Amino acid sequence: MNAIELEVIYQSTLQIARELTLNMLRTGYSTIIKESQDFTFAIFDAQGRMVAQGIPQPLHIGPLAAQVGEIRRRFSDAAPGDAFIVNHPYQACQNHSTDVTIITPMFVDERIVGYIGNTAHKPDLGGKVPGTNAGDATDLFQEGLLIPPLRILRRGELLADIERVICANTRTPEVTWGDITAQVNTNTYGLTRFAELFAKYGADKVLACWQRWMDICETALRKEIEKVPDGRYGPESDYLDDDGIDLGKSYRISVSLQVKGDTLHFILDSDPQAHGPINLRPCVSKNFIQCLVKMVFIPNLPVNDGLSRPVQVSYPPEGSLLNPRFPAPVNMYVRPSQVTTSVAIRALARAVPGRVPAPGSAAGGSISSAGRHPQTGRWYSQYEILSGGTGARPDGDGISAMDELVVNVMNTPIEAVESEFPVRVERYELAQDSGGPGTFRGGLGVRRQWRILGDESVINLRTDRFKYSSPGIFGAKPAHVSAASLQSVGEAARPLTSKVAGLRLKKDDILSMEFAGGGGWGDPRRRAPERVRDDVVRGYVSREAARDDYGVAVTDDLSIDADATAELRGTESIAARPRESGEPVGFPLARE
Amino acid sequence: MKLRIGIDVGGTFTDVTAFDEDAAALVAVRKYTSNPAQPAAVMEDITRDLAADFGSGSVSLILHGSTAALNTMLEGKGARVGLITTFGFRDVYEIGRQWRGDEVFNIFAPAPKMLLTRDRIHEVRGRLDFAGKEIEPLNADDVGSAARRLVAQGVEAVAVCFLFAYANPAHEQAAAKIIRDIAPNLYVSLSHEVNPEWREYERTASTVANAYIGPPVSRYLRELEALSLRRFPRSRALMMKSDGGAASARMLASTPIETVLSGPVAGVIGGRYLGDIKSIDNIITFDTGGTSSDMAVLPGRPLFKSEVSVARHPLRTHTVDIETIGAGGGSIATVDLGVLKVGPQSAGANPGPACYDRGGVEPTLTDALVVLGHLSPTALLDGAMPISSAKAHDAVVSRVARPLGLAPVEAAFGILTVLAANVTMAMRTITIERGYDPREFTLVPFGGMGPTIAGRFVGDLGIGRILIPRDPGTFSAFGMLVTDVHQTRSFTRVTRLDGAKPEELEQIFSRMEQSALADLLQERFGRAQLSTLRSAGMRYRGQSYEVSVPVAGLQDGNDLAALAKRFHEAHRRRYGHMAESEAVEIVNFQVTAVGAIPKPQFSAVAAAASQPPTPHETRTAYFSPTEAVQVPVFRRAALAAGATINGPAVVEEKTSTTLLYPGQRATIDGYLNIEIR
Repeated sequence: MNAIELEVIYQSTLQIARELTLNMLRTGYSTIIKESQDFTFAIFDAQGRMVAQGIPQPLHIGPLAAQVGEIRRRFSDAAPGDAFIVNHPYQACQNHSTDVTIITPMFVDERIVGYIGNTAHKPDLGGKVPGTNAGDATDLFQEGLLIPPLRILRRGELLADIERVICANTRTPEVTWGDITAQVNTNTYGLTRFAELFAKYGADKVLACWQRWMDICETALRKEIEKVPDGRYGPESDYLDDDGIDLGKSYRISVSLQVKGDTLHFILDSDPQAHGPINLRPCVSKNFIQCLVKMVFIPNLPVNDGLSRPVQVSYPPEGSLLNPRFPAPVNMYVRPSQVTTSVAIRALARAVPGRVPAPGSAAGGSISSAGRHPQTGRWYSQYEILSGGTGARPDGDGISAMDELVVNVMNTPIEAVESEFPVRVERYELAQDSGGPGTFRGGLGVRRQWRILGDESVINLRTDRFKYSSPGIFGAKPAHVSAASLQSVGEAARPLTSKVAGLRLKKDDILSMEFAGGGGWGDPRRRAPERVRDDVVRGYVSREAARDDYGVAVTDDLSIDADATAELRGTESIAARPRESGEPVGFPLARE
Repeated sequence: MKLRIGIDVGGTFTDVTAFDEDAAALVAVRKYTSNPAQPAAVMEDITRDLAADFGSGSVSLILHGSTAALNTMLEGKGARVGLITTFGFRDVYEIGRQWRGDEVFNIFAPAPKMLLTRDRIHEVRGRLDFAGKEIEPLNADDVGSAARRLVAQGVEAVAVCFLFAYANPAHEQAAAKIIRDIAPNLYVSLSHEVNPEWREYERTASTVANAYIGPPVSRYLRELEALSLRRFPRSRALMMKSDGGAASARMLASTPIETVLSGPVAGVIGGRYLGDIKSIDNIITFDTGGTSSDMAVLPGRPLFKSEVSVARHPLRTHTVDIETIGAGGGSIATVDLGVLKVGPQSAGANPGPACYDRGGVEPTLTDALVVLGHLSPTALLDGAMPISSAKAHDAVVSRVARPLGLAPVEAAFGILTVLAANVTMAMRTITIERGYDPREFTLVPFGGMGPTIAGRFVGDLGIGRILIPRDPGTFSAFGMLVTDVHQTRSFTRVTRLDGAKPEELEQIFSRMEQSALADLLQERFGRAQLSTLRSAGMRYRGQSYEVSVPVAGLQDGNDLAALAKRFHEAHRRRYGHMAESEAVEIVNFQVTAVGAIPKPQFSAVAAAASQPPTPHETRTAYFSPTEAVQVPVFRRAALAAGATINGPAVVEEKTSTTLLYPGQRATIDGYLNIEIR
């Protein structure tokens, strides 16, 4: 196979993955598919190795690969026209049970040559609360219908028994089954497109091309890892506030990184598993750690199985937060995923300081409310996901109101929220001083404030980082934490905890939520005074924080008081202080 | 003689087409070199030459497409801008949608772009609810002090965007009056004029962008109008808008954002006109020049979109749905990790492909086509552009063939193959995404490179027919000659169809129509030339996206039922299913008033060719990685209606080269288009 076929066949494979994504967007029923785009496609070879993926939600990819392996193991009798379904977090690896996977084997001449897999989040699969993911779940069985690996399509026919079981176990049977049908049909559409590709180039040549591309990515990654000095970096640690059940207990997550030759070994550790649903299955964390490695070392190459080969991940013993024992609940898996990512980023930053940002806020989370609409009398359910800020970069400030890696979900326009729900948004703004102070500053988190207009409403918060914020890196100061409060007419505002289930609100109550900022990079007292002044002029940083965190005195007319600044900073003593490895030298300007 | 002139100002060349309305014939097709630093300079030259050649009384209409607005955005050379917005919502613009989109795997994903710094955003008190009802009156003192602070901050333009201004513009209008009283010279951009639709972030970003390009673009439009009138006192100058219509400088004064895709849209309108002449409904236009390919799917009327992204700024503006990829004659071939990639980087006009012999050393698509014998090995543009076939060969060999261990022709054919695969994939994406099957379409390729490469990929898409217009290299300028003047109005009000009264909907539409028509009457149109088109953005309740549906009569319940039925069908086309039991809502109302400009009338010539055409030469060319073939080369001007040519063959003309692959057969139709099957 020459370089031209290598490119054209692989690009055609990626194109099919892209078309499957478009087809799913087109034919899916729920708003989760159509607007949140909370689904992913991936293509696997006959050995179950991932070859290519569609436009992704990063958290879906790893579980898909593990599920394909499980389907291969259990169904040696798979035949053309078959497809399989699974959502079980323990029997075949899944983030949480509302992510449902469909896997369809591809055949050429009665031989399996690969698999098409897709995972899509479901609006409801039963369980104790609408939307299934109960913040106060204490075991897996409270988290909705569990589907072990099962055949769903036989010789091209959907199995009616499966449909009946699923539809009997969801509050939204039409939409949920509509989405599952779209998943199955889209895979089937993929089979015809792949049949064309196999017919055009021959199955063996296509498989050889896939194999070669995995090798290319593996080789490129190994070459980049080789440049990193051998050694053990970390451990770095961080904490989750609590599991929503026992509010007094926080949970530690630690990561260290062993670099040896052309391999990376991430060693994960944590406290024992939680009663509440903040446990995280190993196959999930393995996946996003591999994604992180790809982003840092070979950002321009495609994602495929080649990336996993030089990367080893090990876990604490079974019964831990990061290696829970069945049936520990997992539905809030995004919270530990965000914190684990942050800690892994810090370990990586020790090894390759110029190539990773400081850890972000890890604070993204959801606020949902439900109630009766005073105008229409109908029940409504409102769901918003909001973000903190990203970490500072080696050459510039972090991004406000954005998550890194794990979460990628749009906010809801205020004009849409108020048109549909009995609430008025009174503020949506960046939280001043929330970004971690550093030579480069972390991005700011957002603050949103809602006034309740209906007579009654029940809210749920699924957040974290009220107690522990991003510490930043290389001498930065910690970012601000998240906070939430509730104020009723004539009363003082009272603080809320990060996980709230079923709190009743009444008319004219004001709910406020402020998200943590991203971590800073380097000593804030090395930040160029002009940049600190600009931040004050633009309102990202207060004059008080400029003085206390950055050691810069800004006058009433917003200019720099050089003498006072020199005194605050004690310039000579900073220069004499040993610089941490990786800390930026001088004051390079950020990318504008 | 009564001339209508189309002028397409591109990044490299400016194309001019002149049509004589009296003689119903094209009388001039010209190419000038653009001067991006001084966009008005080339217009001086063009109008001077036209006046000298045809006389100052000859020109009646100048239609002009320009990258002025686009380049202002791309180069960041707009005005210094400030923003006044609702209290509590200063950061709507900076926060954006917290969406990394395609950058999901970029650990350094870029921030949403801003065209101003946060200290130039000022909040004012005053609040409307979702229906436009006032909850808190606008605080005039806040507006006054915001305006004075912005003046002190040295801004040239102010954007005003208040929450729910689309439902009730009163607060924005009142604020505008206060700002203009304080600072009469400031350019003021109002969100309810720029984008009277919901979604505050996108509306704010569009209003700020409109303010940013407002001062330079309206200055440019006024200069142009003055220049046209000076050279041609009886003429009228119009600018192409992104929606495929034209407008005067006056019509665009408060919304220059409407011209941001002025450039590529004219070719689509030209393609539609060509399709209509030939009675072909389904066409895909494919416009390939030096750096990029613009593609549009036209299932009958063009498709539209309501948002475009320019340098990562989301701009809400009614736009013909065009997709652009980095594939053109200048696309550079590179070898990385043992794999051949082509584009999106381009050698541009300078240094250009290696074969231009202007110092370019990287192999481009053009170089590959010279090596393959698809392009003339000696000169292009009727001899105006000499070609160094040795330089093309050297570039392909040193940067692609040798590193990959391939023969030169294998490498050149590989460059073409990889680029064609990129185009094929983009075309599949745009058709499938919109619910169409490419096999049901005719391809209309133009631009210098479109007709040269189209034959390579139509088979992979299952496209059975290619239609190549005359003068493909200047076809966009031709497209301007067949456009109409458009004025659009839109209005957002979420309205459930099952509870709606037909007469209320009718009233909303007719009010918008009267306002749009009044505007066109100021443009010297007679009543008989005016018409209107209505459409509605509709959705199932609970969805947050809309499907645009044409609206016919609104007399009674039957008309509403018919509208719902059209929506269900449009939804099924776009999304594969419909839900007749779900509640249907109209989200926004749109009206386009059309001022018809008489179209050039072409009549078909009878087939004249009785003899097969004679080639003027033969040359060696490759249609596979290995096998050389001797192919006839024809001059397009020598091909009469009715002539047929069997591939492989080459047809050369001044602005382009058409390739016929083995097995393809071309017929020259009555309008002298080349039709390939």
